[in-house]
Amino acid sequence: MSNSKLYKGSLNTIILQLLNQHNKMYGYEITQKVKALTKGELNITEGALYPALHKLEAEGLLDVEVAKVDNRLRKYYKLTDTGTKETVNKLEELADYIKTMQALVNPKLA
Amino acid sequence: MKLTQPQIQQLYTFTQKHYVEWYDLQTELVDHLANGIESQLANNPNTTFESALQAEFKKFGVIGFGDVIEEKTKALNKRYHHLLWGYFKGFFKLPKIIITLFLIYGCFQLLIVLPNRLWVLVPSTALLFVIPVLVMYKQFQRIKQIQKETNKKWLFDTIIFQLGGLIHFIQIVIQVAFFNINQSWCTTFSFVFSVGFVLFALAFFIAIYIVSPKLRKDMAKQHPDYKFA
Repeated sequence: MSNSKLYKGSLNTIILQLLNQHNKMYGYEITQKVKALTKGELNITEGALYPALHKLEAEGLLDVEVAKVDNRLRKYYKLTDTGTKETVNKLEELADYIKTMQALVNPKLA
Repeated sequence: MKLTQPQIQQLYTFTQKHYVEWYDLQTELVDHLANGIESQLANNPNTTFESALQAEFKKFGVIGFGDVIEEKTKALNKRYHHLLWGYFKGFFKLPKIIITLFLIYGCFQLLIVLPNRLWVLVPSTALLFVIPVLVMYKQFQRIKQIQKETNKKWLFDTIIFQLGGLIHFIQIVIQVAFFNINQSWCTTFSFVFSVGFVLFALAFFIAIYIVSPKLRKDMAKQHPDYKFA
């Protein structure tokens, strides 16, 4: 990530929102999608992505399905009903955070 | 260019060499590495499979797959506890709370009525621990059999076998039950012990007979290669 500390707290929200938009995704696909959407500005590291995915799965926000693709198995993640609800909450939290930061760093735009 | 089956197998061996022994975790990492390698080979045809693999592995950081293993273990334990807690809470709602209260009352009454509390403690601890030990022995044999037949180890099974860490608390319960055995217990202590003992027994029962089978079923549903025996 370009500034990992700033983005770290939003990693779960990023994952949830991507899955909200794309139904089901696998780990590598998420890293590439984020890279493409941010034009290479944000690069999610593998060491951060998988622990985050496994944590969200453990919390019951993500469901998993393993399918055979080409000549190997692929693990897909998708949102559970709780995950879909949580995505809305997380996005609201993020929007509030951005608004607060805007008010602090650039009061004219807030 | 898609990787060949021998190359995929090579990736499984690679993850194993880097301390990922469990097939459920290996599968995800192998697919990730394979995607990265395929992308590198497509963008730069002069790259070799080996150098592309090393480049992909470097992306996991200095400790390699260490973080992923640690966090996955934590996440599985968390999922186990989450389920356990969910079912456990069910024993404090009607109608199951009647069973919970009855067991606490029964244990407490026996402790205060019988002249020697060992008459209660010995059979109840035996019942509480011998049965699970037998169940776990059966589990252990099952895991070994699966490993022998398929040459695969599942991190999932390891967590289930340890009952999400609950197994480590057995020792504490035994120590409290048989601590200072010649000294008599006051009524309050007998009551507190009855509550603690029944709650622990319930947690143990839920872990062995409800949570573990449920997780195995979920895994069998998720993973086509998981042999559910």
